[in-house]
Amino acid sequence: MSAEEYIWSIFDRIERLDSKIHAYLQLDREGALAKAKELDRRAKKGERLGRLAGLGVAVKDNICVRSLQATCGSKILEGFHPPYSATVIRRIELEDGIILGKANMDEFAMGNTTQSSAYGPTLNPWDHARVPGGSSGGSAAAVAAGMASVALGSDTGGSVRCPASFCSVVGLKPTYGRVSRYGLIPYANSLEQIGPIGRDAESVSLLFNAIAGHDPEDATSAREPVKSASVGDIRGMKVGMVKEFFGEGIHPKVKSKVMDGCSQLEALGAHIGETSVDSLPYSLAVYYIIAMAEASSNLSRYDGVRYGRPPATGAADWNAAFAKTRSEGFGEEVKRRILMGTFVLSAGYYEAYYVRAQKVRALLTHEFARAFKKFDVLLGPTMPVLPPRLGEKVTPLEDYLIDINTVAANLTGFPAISIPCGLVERLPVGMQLIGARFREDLLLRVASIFGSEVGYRSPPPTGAA
Amino acid sequence: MDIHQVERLADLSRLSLRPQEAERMRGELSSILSYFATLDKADVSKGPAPRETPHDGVLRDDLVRPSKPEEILEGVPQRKGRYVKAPKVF
Repeated sequence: MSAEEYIWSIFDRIERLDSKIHAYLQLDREGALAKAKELDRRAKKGERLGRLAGLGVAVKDNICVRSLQATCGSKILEGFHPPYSATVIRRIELEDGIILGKANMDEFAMGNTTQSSAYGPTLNPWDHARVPGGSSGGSAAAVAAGMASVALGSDTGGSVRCPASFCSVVGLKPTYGRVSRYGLIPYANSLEQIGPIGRDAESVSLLFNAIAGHDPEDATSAREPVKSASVGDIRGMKVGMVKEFFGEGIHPKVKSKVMDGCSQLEALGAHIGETSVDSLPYSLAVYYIIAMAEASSNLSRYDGVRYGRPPATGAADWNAAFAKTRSEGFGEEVKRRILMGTFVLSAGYYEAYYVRAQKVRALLTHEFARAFKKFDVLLGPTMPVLPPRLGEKVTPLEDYLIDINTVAANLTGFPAISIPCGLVERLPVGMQLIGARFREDLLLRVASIFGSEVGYRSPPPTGAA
Repeated sequence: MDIHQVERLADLSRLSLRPQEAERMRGELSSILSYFATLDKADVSKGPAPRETPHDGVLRDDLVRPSKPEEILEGVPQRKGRYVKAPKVF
């Protein structure tokens, strides 16, 4: 099949399925087909093509692609066309990957259901009455439904791994600093990383290796060389089941599904042990304090004057005009986090919340580092629950609580992956593995072996075939 | 958290909240805050000192590089020639 035929087939599928699923906010059919034709021409001439040649990539809408609108799922950035592309996009293009379009997301990546997008929710391809997870829900749903070969998401507190788990695909949150954040519209800088999503470990590996590596444009980018994907087995690999990940509030069938996954790893030769990370129960509060604090500062830049939504009219003065623009442009969850972040940073409360959270974060990092002296990877369920129903009424706090197992990897900077682990009540369950710093290679090795030996690769979801 | 605090935070954050929106936020922020209070139980006396980022920042030289003023100005919602239109200050 030529690249052009392949890309046509993807757009065909998008046409048939996406009016229902709504994974994409914008498509670049013309650009994608032009690039595919160019690849076919170059292949005919016998030219060597890049590592991603012919792969169709969906890009989360908070990652800048020059000439395509970047809304971050928010009304406040409506009409914003970034004048440059993110480093990850330039690297994908250099390796001959084909950008298909921009994927739906929770507004400013704040959420775990993709329901806070100002442009309407994305549906879970496995069950259209359920959410795909978030905040990279469009990216994961596009991959799961065969509407993209691979996708880019971003993960601030689980936003790649949560939708990967709920949509039964593989999603990797790299080590902090491993992938450049240049061109990623920031939400919480000290926590987030861009990460690849794919139907199997091999495609995730391909995309990860294309985007990883030092970038002088990002001051937090790591200089450590990228480890090439290691082949081999997992015999003798030490896997630590983290007690706290199986704690209070977990769906019993999700728990037993992930325990089954663990036994399968054991059957493949891994040594399974149990361990404890004492500060884990605090991780959720620590995460939300830090993420909201950083968000309140980051989102102060949106005023309607320099880009995006035009400023509101009819306000009395400068400050009132900004307040009006921002109140009309931001959704509820974004406002909530800005207010809360402003609170935890304000005089009189800063020490009690923000500084204390940073101390517990350091303690948590220390405890994880200690666990990695005994184990190669740490394991637990990615999400403690099955994908929630669309529109289910929960309080903001109840909604935050389902991030309990994912936030620690962001707070500590360690890489983490979600691997499909099977179905419960015909809904996907994901298994999370966390690795030591820069050991994405080990996570991908487990994902690859688990995928080929256990065969988690499920058929395309009903209604999407 | 009382309603005056919510109004003060909204003012600091340049957000204007309708009365019932402010009241709902008050309830939600209060319950989130009481959840944050679980951190009081954490024993941080033995922990290492926090660092701002996991990596040491790498500084680069402050060099003048070509930029794209025209392209950037094209994204400005309201402008007059090369001037950016902003709300009235006074």
